[in-house]
Amino acid sequence: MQPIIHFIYASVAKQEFGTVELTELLRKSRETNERLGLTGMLLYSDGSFFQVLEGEPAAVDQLCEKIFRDERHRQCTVIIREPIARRSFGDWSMGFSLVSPEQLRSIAGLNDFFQSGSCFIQLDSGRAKKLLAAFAGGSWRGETKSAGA
Amino acid sequence: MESQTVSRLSVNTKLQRPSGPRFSFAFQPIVDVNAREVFSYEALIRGPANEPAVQVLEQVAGDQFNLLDEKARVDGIALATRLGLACHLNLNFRAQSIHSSEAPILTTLQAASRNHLPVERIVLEVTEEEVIVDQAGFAELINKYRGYGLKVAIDDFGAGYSGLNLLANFQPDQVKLDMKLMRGIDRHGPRQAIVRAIGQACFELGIDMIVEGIETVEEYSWLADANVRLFQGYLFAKPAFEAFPPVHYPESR
Repeated sequence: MQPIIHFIYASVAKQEFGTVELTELLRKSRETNERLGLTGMLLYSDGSFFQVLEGEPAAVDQLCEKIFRDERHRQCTVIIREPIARRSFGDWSMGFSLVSPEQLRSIAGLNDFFQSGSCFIQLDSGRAKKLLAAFAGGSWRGETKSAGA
Repeated sequence: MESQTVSRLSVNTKLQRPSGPRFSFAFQPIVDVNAREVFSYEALIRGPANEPAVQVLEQVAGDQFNLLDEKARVDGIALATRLGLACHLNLNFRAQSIHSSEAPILTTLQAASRNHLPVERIVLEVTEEEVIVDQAGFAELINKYRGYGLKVAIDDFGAGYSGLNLLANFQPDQVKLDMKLMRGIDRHGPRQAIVRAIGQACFELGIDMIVEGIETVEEYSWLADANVRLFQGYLFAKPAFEAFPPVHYPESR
């Protein structure tokens, strides 16, 4: 069995990402992930990123190193890197969700929040889901620069 | 795929074990008070007629403890699945036993496969005291098997060996707080501060925190108010010999 790991990190955008920037970011990341056999999810909310990457260790580490060098974000925090038995996002080269701060606050239960068709619905009760709840609870998120927080 | 891997690895793991003492198990639930359901059962070793664990252990020679530990997991899995296990199963695991051989883990994986128990349901409980000696070494060894889906719990966490520092080197799936921390926690500020701090660390690491040894409604109420969700103790259910006992869900005061 080829070992598989997941790598979960959070970071803070240096500038607010709009729809155009996010679309371009996703297009590139899906391209890269398909090439490297990686899957995962990205959540963006109010200037903060939460990302799960899963795949073979060498491929994951190589990409993460590159992501952490990206000048468009800061406070890159490795939340966890560990072996997993199976992928949580096997069907997603990069699942994505853009959520408002209000939505994020109501995320606590997670099950009610993400509708079917979302990559998050597939999350079992494992580590990635618990960490997403911690992110929703405010961990690792940056100061909001936009109004209304 | 996993079962193939396990059987491939099974070569050369036949045990040359002398017949040790006879034993059986009692099961005590770990309950999720929010979902009001059993989250896991811990298999506790007992004599063949429900004698205390110590009566089994005193029949074991010093160099045979690892073998008993290994055999107890195999038999514990068989009994729990026969009882209709539908949640996690917590099994004791002597951490030092994998330093010399893979067999103690492989026989556990094979027992799961034989009893059609998904590996993800098995939680190996190691004590903080055992892991602390070589944290990085233990993490490296056990992580190999976590790739099969095995879960790991640190038992007696906060008993005074390493505390939170252990979690910097190794992130288990569960921590079980030392029951000495729980005595009278509803009136004890320092213990409250420690439990809150461990709870916050577990939250940010995606670790399930289990609180053990809860005996009074007052202790329970304070912990429930502090958002503790997973409990094990007499207040909820006593261990039941070769059975899954009924659970009492206390009302918080």
